[in-house]
This record gives sequence, C-alpha cells and structure tokens, in this order.
Amino acid sequence: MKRLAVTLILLALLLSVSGYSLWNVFDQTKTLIHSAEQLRQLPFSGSLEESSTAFLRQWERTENQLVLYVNHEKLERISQTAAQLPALARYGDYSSFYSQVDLLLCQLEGLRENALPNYRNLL
Amino acid sequence: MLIVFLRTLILYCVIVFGVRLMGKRQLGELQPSELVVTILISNIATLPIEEIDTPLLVGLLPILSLVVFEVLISVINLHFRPVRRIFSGTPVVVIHHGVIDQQKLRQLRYSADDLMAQLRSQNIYSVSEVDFALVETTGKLSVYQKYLSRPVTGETLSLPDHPEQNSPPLVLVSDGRINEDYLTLCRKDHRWLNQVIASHQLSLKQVFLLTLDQKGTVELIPKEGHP
Repeated sequence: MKRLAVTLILLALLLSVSGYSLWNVFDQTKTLIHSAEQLRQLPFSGSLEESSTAFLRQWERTENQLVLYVNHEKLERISQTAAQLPALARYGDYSSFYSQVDLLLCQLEGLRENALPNYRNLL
Repeated sequence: MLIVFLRTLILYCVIVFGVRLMGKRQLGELQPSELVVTILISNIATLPIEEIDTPLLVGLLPILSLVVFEVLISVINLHFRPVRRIFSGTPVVVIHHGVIDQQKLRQLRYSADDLMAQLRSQNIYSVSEVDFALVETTGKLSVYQKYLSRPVTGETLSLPDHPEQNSPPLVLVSDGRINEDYLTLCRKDHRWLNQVIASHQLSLKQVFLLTLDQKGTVELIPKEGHP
C-alpha cells in the first residue's frame, strides 16, 4: 500500500512536471515570438540595435529556464541566430537582419510545436 | 567529464530507487512486462549519460514513468485476472500423467531439446521420471516427478516430526552488528545476547557471526585475531 502511495505521488509529480514544462515552453515562446514580431515591424532607423540587444538579453534569461527540459542543441541554434541581430542592425545589413528575425520566429515556433503532444510529434 | 560523472551518479540513484519501488518481484524471475521495463530502462538510462545536450529531466522522466507504469500494472494484475492474462500470460501444461503434449510444445515454440535441457537443469534425465510439468509465465519449467522418482523425504519414511528442526539457524550478530529483526523473531533480548557473548569471553564488536536455531543451539565465530 505504501509502495502504491509512493507510485501515485510520483505519477502526480511526473504529470505536474510534464504539464509545467509544456506551459512554460508555451508561455516563454509566446512572449519571445511577440518580441521578435515587434522587432520585425521596427523601421530601419531608430532603436533597432537597442531592441535587438534587449531581445538577446530576454532570450538569454528564457534559455536558462528552457535548458531544463528542451534539447540544448535547439536552444543553441536560437542563441546563435539571436546573437547575430545586434551586429546586423549596427552595421545596417537590414536584409540579413530581417531574414534572421524570420529564421528566429521559425525556430521559436518550432520549439513550441515540438513540445505539443499532437499526432505529428506522437507518431 | 565531471558532468558525466554527476549525471551517472544521479541516474544510478534514480534507477536504484526505481528498482526498489518495483519491488522484489523485479529482482527474481521476470514476467514479460517486467522484462520489457528492465530492457527499456537500461537503454533509456544510457542516453542522458552519453549525450550532455539532452536535459537530465528528459532522461529521468521516461525512467520514472516506466517504474510508475510497472507498479500500477502489477497492482492491477493482482486484482484483475483478465488483465494479468494479457500482461503475463498463463502457465501451460506440457506434460500430464507422464505424456508430453506435443501440440502445446509447438504452440510455445518449445523444441524437444529445449524441454530436455530444462529437465536436465533440474537433475532429471528422463521424461519417464516426470508426471506433470508446466511452463510458467516466466518461461521456467516447473516439474512434479513421479512418486518413485521423487527424492526420499522423512514423510516417505514415516519418520516422526521434529518441529524444532524445521527452522533454519538465524543470524543474530553479523560482523559485530546485531540483527534486531531476527533477535525479536527468536524472542531474545540484548541482555541474553550480551550474556551469550560474554560467556565466550568476547565483546559484541569481536563477534564475526552468531547464529541461533530453534533448538537453542548457539554458534559463535569470533573475528580473526580474537580466540
């Protein structure tokens, strides 16, 4: 009976951790996608470099949380993409900048979709 | 490298905990579902150890999930016979009244050589010695020998029973440490134990092994260097 109780507690814990990780990935990526979309809509001039740097910092904070339950390689790829943005904005390579933002959006969407227990991921 | 070491340590602790949670059943003869879980756990555990890019939580979650499923299935098996039949199967009688059921053997994909090998592992070299045999759900062959082939027992010889000789000697002290459970089982206390040890001019720490049987015979082996 004690063994069964421990098992049920463990089951509840596992479901909670799984649920929390799913919620956290969703929540964090939602915020990041929103920030990236804002970055996408910013005009050439102005605070593009500051916004990119702010986004990079935001991503670094999020990465520290996601690293617990998302494959590090995927996070590393997003880090690489995000790290390019401030330099691209600083030196005015806007076409590359916006294509990198698009890539970033795609990678963040992928992160979110990979966490979903849908038929594509299950099968 | 230190990361790999620490990850291995964590996974080792988790797997030991998991196997303990699954219970003693897991350590003996494996049922089909238990075998599956054991193989899966051993495979899954190596991934987070080898691949540092994989979060440890991602490795721990399937291991603990399998442990949970195994315990839950074993509890369900205990209460629901149909479920038990699905997960563990049923024992199959392959020899009845000394006659081999060849059709059952074929169904089990059990060759005559397999049957003889299993019998030989139980010191039986002729099928004629066997009255009844069944293949357990674990794949082990259980054999009931014919009356004349069975080892002679006290009952066969109509010897009088000696209940005091039925229980094996219990280890009360092992390497200077008292086994409290066995001491209680023998209805003895520390005072009695100290008296026994003192009668051999020894202290508790000097005792290597002390056993007591139901007749009250004490066997004491001192540690090396203590006569």
